[in-house]
Amino acid sequence: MANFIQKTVANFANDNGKFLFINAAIGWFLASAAQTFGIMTNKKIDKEDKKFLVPQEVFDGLSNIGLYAIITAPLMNMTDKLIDKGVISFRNVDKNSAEFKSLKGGAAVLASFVGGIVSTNILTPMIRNKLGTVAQRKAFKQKIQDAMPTYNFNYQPLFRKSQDNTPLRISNYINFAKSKNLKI
Amino acid sequence: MIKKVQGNNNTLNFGAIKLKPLGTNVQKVLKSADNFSSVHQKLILGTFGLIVQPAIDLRNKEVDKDTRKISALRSAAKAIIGTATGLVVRTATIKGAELAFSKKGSGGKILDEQKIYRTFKKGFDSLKLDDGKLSDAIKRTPSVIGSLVALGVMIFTNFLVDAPLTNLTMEKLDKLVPNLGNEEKENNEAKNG
Repeated sequence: MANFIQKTVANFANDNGKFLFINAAIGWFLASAAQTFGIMTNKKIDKEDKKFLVPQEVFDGLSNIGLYAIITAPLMNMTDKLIDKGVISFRNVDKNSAEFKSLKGGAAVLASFVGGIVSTNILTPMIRNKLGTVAQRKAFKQKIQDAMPTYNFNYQPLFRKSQDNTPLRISNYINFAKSKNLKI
Repeated sequence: MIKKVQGNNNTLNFGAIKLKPLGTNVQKVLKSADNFSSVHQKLILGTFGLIVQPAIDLRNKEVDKDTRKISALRSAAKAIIGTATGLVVRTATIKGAELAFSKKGSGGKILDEQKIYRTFKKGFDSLKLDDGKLSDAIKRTPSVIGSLVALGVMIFTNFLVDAPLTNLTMEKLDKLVPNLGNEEKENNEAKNG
């Protein structure tokens, strides 16, 4: 265990970009779990808003970590490759020097920041809003179905007459009943 | 800015594109970035989150105005509280790690690099780093240890501090900007005087 801890710390200390990447991913996981719990236990947010906010928060966490990995890791790798191949170079710096390695490390860190901003601050909110909306609409659809009025057969002759014998539709029936102030 | 490298027989080699070499100013930024800690990371990502995320939530036309507003307030509150507690916890743990690995120097406390190397000798030796890289890695070790300890602390602070404070901050922000996202209502009020 001590060997594992030593190697882990040494690896992270040597590769700052990789460390910050992993640190951010774990941090978002913990934050998302806590925020989801916070929404669920907040009595001041009403149930309808919770139906959107809880799925939104869960998707926020999942997409944060997923998108961060999908976008940031390749961006960092690409930065490394561009520097190794000489597409990105540094004036008056020897490729074999410690200074070059430090510059390469710094470029990887900045690439991880750019990846983090694009994935977690732009793409994640857009995607989790979309997914949260889908979850909310499903919840509302169920609510509407549960609240559907029962069809009162006493109104049928009046309703049929008003519809000129066109096919019965529940939406037309509801509108008809409301227009006549009939109790559904 | 982009220079195409010519081949041996004076034909253009489109496979070898080189950007103009980066100068001293950019190099200074990159060298600083190589020593960025999780505190810098939290500050930069948190600041961008505070600016960008609520704006995206307010423009989400697929939900009603009230939900849009709650969502935007929540994003802003999360960014503020998450960044603030993250910065405080990480700064405290990194400072703690630096103190644990410091010694008395001529100008006060300085980092005891020998102590750090001795503590993680097996780890550093296994990497077979040259002197320059080893020295940089040793200097970054307290930041790494502090950040890892911070993750452990945040398991508790996320639930005990972040979540309740986010809810409280949402309420405060709601009172500060009651007509957030309700531009139509504000415009009407302005027209009616």
